[in-house]
Amino acid sequence: MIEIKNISKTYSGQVKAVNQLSLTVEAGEIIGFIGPNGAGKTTTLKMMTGILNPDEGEILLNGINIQSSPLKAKQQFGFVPDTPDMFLRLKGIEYLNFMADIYDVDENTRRERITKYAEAFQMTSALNDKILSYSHGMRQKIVVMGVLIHSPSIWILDEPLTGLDPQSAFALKEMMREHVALGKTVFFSTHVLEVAEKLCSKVAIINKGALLYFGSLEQLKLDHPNASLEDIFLKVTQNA
Amino acid sequence: MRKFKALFIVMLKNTFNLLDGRTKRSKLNKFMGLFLLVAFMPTLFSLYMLAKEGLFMLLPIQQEGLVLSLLFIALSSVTFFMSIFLVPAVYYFSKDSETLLALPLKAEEIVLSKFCLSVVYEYLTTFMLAIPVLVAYVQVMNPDVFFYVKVILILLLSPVVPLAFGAIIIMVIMAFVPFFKNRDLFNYASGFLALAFAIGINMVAGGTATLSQEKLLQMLTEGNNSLLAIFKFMFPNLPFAIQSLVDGSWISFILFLVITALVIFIFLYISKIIYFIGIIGVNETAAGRKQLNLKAYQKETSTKGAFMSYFLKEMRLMIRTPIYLLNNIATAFLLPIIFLVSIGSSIGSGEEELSTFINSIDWTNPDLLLVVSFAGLALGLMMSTMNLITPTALSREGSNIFFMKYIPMSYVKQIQAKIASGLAVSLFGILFSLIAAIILLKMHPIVIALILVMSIQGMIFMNYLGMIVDLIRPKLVWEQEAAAVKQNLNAAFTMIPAFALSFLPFMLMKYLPNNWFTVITIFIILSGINWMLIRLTTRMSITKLHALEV
Repeated sequence: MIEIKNISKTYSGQVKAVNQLSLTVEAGEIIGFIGPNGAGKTTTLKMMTGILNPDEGEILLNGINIQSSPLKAKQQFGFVPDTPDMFLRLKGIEYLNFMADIYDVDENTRRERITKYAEAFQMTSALNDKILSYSHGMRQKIVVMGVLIHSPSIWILDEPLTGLDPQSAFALKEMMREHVALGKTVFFSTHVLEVAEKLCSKVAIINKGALLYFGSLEQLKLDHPNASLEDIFLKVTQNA
Repeated sequence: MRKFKALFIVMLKNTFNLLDGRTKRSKLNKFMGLFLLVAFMPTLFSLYMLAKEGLFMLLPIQQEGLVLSLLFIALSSVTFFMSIFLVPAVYYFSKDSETLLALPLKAEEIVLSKFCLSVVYEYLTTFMLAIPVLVAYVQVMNPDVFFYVKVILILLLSPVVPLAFGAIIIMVIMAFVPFFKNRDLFNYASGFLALAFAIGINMVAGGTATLSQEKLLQMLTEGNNSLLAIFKFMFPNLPFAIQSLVDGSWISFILFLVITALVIFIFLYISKIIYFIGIIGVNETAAGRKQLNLKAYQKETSTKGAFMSYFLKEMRLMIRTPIYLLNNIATAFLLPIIFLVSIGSSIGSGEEELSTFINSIDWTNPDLLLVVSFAGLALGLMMSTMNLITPTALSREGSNIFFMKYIPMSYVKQIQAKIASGLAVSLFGILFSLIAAIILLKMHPIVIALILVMSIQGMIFMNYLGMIVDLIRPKLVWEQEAAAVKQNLNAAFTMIPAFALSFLPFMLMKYLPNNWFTVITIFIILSGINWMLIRLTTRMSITKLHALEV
């Protein structure tokens, strides 16, 4: 469960990136976080993960405050950043084992999960190579695997499907569905409305730092009859 | 020309971070600049005094032009040497290379912009070396007003020819030797070549150190020795530049300009033909794509614990990144090797005085207590400051520093793992030096133990101080890894105190009683200082990393 209560963030004292944003994500939900470029999506995700400190408001992850109990809160989630170019000179397997050590995953479990996800993402033969030699999509996969290896209850993903081949994108979407079926939470940002439409139980639309809509896509369509999802999105964000 | 101008301006702004318009740190940067200027003052002053004395010595034999010759040869050689590292980094391996390739730009437009950028890079070194010498020259020689006009133009153009020659050599290598197209291999090869060169220079310098002053002067004034002849051939515009300054000849000055322009023209013509051949596919990395066997898989996936795993990650990234390997790790070997080579070759070449002196040292003599203790401290300080690991520990993370903020590992523990990597390499350097010293100097076990204990104090001090400096001002915005280590002022901020603290105790030695009590007191004081530094680092790890926003 994710509870975001009235968070705001201003850069350099001038640009208000996020303004009084509040939303609650119940366990068992997949939330698509949608908004134009520069709307405040990444800033919100960074505040949720402790990378940025909100100027005001609080964020609770499974009831644990990320500001007051950061280490405990960070155990609750796995985060996929928008750029997967990390630790490029480590081998894929070394990166996964490093993540397993950081999140205290026991030896048998980590081996079992690495094998399972490497097969799902077709990465088995690439694990012994340096991440530097990977394509963008493969880097994205190894970072996603680094999250899955510790099986966090909350997944926070910044544009997780960018660069993935259709097969891997399908595998990840299936994993998201299985994850929430177990009563856990997925919160991800995306630009692709079709993905949100097919995958999410609810969407949160943000523009200029403010939350414009939070609810089911069905309700949004009912509110705007005879309009395509694209038209609705443009209308909602333009009226902000 | 319009495209070149636009490209050059963007590159310049991007390189010197003028685009983000941040004003918050400008005060701090001004202070840092001032600090560095003050710190370098003694070196600049010695250079000035050296030039002045040289001029007074050479004036009676009408060889004062030799000072200018040496200055410009030094400038050109340093620039040429640096171009071996600068050209690949700027022309081939920088992040913008692929973007520029996709733009409708001619090879010579890209190359000329990058060339001008490298010329600007070189100005700092050029002016630092040249100004003290030229001030001395002006004071002693009192030249006419045209001298100033010419010298400014010559200085501004002085990096052109060596950089062009360096660039031509690198462009040919990149175009026709596919092995070097791999950035890592290129960096390893050029780096180790430079280290070998440094050791070689040291051996040669060791050989010439015994030359008498008269003999050295005679060698230089003869003007036909092979070294000067090589430089004259390599930098054909230099003799004209020097002549125009010494005797005021305008014809020489024009010839200098013409030759410089000709070199640029040839350089651009060559780049037009071969630059694209070398750059295409330069950043590709080979991969084996071979599945791990069961044994290797089990080894790779064994549990190591968060701290150990983090420490190993630090070490792996340092060892596998050529720039870091050369700057952070190789230095641990370089100093002891230079030490071994210099002393070893002196003894080997039959310098009996030195080996007699070494054999005559009575290591059990209590008078040596303080010298040995301070030498140990200095060893620890120098070995730790040379590797630059902790002053760049956060800087090396660059834009990926956000990783440190979202993993469930405390900031203190992460910083301690980074410091541990610095301590490990420093300790390795200390032990390696000690082994070299034991072999050459035949030291007594107690002396070895004392050096080791004191050097560990110096090592702890320097590594924690380095970490504090990087916590205060991490350099996180950079285009190439080299910038995180080589173009990072944090290095200077730790090197200056390290040098000062290494020499200061020797200056104070005569005021201190030479006994065990003093040694133990110093040890206790150092332990206290280190304890405070460790506490401060712990506190700053939490506050600084919490406040850091990326």
